[in-house]
Amino acid sequence: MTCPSELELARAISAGDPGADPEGDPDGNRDGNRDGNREGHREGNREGHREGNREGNREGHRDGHRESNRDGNREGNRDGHRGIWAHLAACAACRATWDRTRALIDLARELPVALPPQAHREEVRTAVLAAAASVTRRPPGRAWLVPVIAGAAAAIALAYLVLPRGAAPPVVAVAAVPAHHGHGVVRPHPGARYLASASGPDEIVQLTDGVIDVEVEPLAPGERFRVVVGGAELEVRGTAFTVTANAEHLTAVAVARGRVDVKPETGAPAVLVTGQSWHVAVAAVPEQAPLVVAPPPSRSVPAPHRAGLPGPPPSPGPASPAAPRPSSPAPPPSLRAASPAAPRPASPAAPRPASPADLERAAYEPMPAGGIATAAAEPEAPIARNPEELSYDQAWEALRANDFARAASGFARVLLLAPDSALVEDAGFWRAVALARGKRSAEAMSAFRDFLDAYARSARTGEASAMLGWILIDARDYDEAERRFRAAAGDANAAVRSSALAGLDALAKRKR
Amino acid sequence: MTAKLIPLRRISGDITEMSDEALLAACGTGDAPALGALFDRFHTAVYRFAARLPMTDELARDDLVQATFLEIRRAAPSFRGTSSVKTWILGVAANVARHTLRAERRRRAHQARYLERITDAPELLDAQVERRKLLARVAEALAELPRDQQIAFILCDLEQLPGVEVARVLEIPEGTLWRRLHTARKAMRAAVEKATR
Repeated sequence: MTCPSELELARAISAGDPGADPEGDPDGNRDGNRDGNREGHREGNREGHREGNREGNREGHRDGHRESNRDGNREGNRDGHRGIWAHLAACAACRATWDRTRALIDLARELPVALPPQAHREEVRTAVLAAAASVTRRPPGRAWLVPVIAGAAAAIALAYLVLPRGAAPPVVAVAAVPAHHGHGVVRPHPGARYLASASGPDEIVQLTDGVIDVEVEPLAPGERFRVVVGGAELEVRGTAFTVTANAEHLTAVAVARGRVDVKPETGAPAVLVTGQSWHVAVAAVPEQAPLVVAPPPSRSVPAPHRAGLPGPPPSPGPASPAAPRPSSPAPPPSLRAASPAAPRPASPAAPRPASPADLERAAYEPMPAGGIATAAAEPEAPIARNPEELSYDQAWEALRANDFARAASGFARVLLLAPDSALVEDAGFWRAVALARGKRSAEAMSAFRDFLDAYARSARTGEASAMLGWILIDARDYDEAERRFRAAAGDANAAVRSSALAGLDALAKRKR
Repeated sequence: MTAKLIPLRRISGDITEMSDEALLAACGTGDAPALGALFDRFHTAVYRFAARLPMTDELARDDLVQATFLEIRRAAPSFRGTSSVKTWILGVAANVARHTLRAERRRRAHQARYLERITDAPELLDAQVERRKLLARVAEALAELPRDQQIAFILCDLEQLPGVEVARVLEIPEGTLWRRLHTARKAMRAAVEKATR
């Protein structure tokens, strides 16, 4: 009796439990069918229940049967013919190997598998579809961006000048003609400007100016219909309502029927039901002059990778008072232009000075929300935000809101979405900062090292080195910490140099 | 091996009634709703695969899921129907994992967090404690495997995908897959049995 080879045994183990028939074929088929059916039923039921409709069950059953039967038959046939299972019945050594391996696999299947919450998965889904949409060229027959007014070439040309570059041409209404968009009908009032787009089941109407009446049919699970006005967003589910905007600011919502979730740019979200309305307070309407984030001193000379991008306005003063406190994230081009969605910092004056005693602590802290230097800038035409810029914006806002996990994830998404983007360097740096602020020291160390490896000539190497040095002290890796501090000690920024020297002092004390 | 011919067509009709293959074909033509529907059907499987890779934390897991679905959209036209769509998608995820998550430093850091999560349990009965320790050892053994062996073990033994199809989607000879699987099981078995002696 010859024992099967290791590979034959490995394959047989994957096929399932041994059968009694030495030929293996009938049992192989039966086992395959049985497992396939069971798996199919289970998958189908699970999918169906989750989706909450009968179709899911039927689909799941059918697909499960078909897929798993096919797999089961094929595996069962192939493995059954080898007679391995018959051998197992007679060979104690092979049987023991089999049993131990099966036990290991069963144990390994008990390993916890943590899945993120549904809301988080929705966020990822939107990011995927947005990224995919950015590279999809819609054929003319498919695009559902339909012109509201035939022959309104002049209006479209005008809107092209007004609305975001790079986006599909917006609709400019000169008469109240309804336009059907996926699950909704938009009835623009004369003069209304809006842009409709769809990333799969996620439909967005971007209203720039004017008034639109929106009627949305009931949505299936997973489908979304949103109206976006600047930084405000209305989430709807089968309803009819009217939205009013003024220069990309949401000013009023009136719900004729159904329900609308209003998430204004500032202030608390609101839920409106039939007959209710929402109006922005006059005082709360953001001014037209946008605020932009002043660049950190290290970026006063634009880095080479930023060449060609709109440059930031000059800083009103020293933007990074306490290095290696990371200076504020460089906003993407979109934020440097008019960005009504950007929250107004508490103090638009020059950044607050830092006390020397803060230096060590500051190594871990990005500029707080209220401390970001701001300056007024000339209004510029809005620039379209592509997915990576959008993600960068969101990550930046999350960082300012001390939501470090979301910030780190957002900056990582930039690296993923656009590895060749001009934002990658900044995203890599700020991801590391977010991780450090979130007390994820091991990952922060790794992220800072990755950043320093990838951008050895970056203007931020000093800041990154100093921050990494402080984390390394906590990790008791004094040798590397010393190297990092020494690398930062020659930085052009005095505050970074100061922090590096403080780090070297701290190291010297610990060594004593 | 005969490849199935999957017609390239755009979506029409009720998307929930479309087969996985038809959705993938539509996705290959750039149809965004098809990609959304594929995400809805398979993102849990991809997340589960990502979560089982010892190196992945929440951040890397999201990265992997996003990159996988973007790659699915790009590579959909190359699907030939020689495996189920689920196997093909998990194969894409495995390839993305191999190519994008190689940094060893990152891996060690995440591995530490992963093991921490498993062993960090509130007060448990002795038997549960032992069980948890054993599971931690399994996780540790899995984490110590080379990436290719991890992928083989996860796809074949944990996700229970057919080995023949897994080999196809990973674009490796079937024998290579079985060898990786055998080596992985052997190493893990040894590690776990050593811990229980």
